[in-house]
Amino acid sequence: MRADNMTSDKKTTDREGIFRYITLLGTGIIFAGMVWAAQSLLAPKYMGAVIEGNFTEEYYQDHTEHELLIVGNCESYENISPMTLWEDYGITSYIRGNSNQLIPQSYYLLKEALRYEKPKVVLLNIQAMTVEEQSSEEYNRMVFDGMRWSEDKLKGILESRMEEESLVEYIFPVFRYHSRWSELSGEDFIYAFGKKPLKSYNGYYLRADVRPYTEFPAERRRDDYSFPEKNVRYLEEIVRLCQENKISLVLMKAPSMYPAWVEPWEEQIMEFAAEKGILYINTLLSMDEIGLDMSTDTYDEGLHLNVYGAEKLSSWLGGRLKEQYALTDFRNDERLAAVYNQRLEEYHKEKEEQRAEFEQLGYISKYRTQEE
Amino acid sequence: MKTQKIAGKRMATMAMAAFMAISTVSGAMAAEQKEKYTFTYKEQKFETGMAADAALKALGKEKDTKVLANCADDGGKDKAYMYDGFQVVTTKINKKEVVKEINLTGDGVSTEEGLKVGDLPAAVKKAYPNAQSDNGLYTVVLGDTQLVIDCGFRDDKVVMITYEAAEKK
Repeated sequence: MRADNMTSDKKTTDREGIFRYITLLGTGIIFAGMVWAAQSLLAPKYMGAVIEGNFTEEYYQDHTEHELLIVGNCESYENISPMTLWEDYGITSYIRGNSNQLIPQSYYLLKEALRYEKPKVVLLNIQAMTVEEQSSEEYNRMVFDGMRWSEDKLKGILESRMEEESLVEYIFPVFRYHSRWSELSGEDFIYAFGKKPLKSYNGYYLRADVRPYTEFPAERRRDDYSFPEKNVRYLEEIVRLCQENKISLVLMKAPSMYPAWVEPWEEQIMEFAAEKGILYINTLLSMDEIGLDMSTDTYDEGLHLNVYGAEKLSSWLGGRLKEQYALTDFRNDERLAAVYNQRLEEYHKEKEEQRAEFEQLGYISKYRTQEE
Repeated sequence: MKTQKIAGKRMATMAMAAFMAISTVSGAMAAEQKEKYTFTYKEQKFETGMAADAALKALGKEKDTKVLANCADDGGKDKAYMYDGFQVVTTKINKKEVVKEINLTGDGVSTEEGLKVGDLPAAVKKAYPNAQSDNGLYTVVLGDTQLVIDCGFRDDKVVMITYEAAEKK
């Protein structure tokens, strides 16, 4: 009888324990779900005038492999069109570029990309070698918010975050964006849980407006033009990473007219490239050969190329890279052609829409806020 | 009568001399009390850190404006307003636009100490005896401002003069 009671009591205690455990687990799941939902709602969606915040995460939606991976800041994603590389040469490529992407960030994005694919060639735009630290938290968030969690993301954040940025806010973006509740817009609700439309073309930022080059103000000469030590160290790491993975690395300076690319920087890069046996292309020295006309081929007075300029540069660059590195023409590959040609069609459609709108209005309405 | 006239003239001369002496002393004191470098244009003073709207209003219509962005839109954080012979670069600090730099690039304007583009390095040393030179770049600090005078890599003549915030030590 006593034994029966004891068994019964034990069963009750066990049941209570399980119940408590399930309640706790359920509460935890509900809490985590609420945090996730709040985070999804409050995080910026970059669907308006500033679309660059989507670029890191869009990479994961592309399930094809690329023979050419392009890495760098805006000088990469605004000046090279992977669509032209495909259309003209059948080259498969993707740009892992972000606004003001620092050299350590390029390293970690490249390292992460090598988990998914192994390109033949990596092209790194080197303008960021001159940039010592991040100038705005927003740029860092645009690089990392869309990046999948990995050791690379963690190290990338730790290596490039600004003094006032906390790691916790990257792990739980809700802590960073909680104050956005009062400025939530329709797009926040639409895209909080739904799939966002692609904003880039394999990482390329399409602009079909035309604003001719005008002279930039003189920049004050610096006391010291040496590249920051951290950037040199990470450039060395990029070289090592490419060597280990048997990838050809190419360094490039895009034809952006500002900030001015000065002789001491050119000398340092040339010396580095020569020492490592790496191809370095300074497109500023080949503007005529490329066919660039800065009265028609830039959308922001010489800071970046528009789509017409980017297509000229890509066509010129693609020819060089294809010849030098024997890149494959995949245009007869059914699987790849299906993916690329569909995106190419969308690219041409948007290019034409932007062209027509610019011709009619003198501006592209979706970027209007950005320019004002 | 004649004596009175002479006495009157003497008084006037002494008063004038006293006035001039006071003016000179107060002028010298003002020069000694100068706490930062300012750029004077059309009798108005401009300095780094001042509100951009006040500066731009006083300067009048610029010839051209450039947004100095490199990558994505940062709200037009830095802008350059171009005038004849100089440029005013502004930046946003806590959403407030302030003057970040004033660059003298033409010989039609000069510093308050009389230096202008095209002058020789000797003129730099004369106007700013305390300037530290490094590779043709002369820097002189006053309070929380500094003047950076670029005489080119060849150190042969002034090509640009920049008013900016002094580098924090």
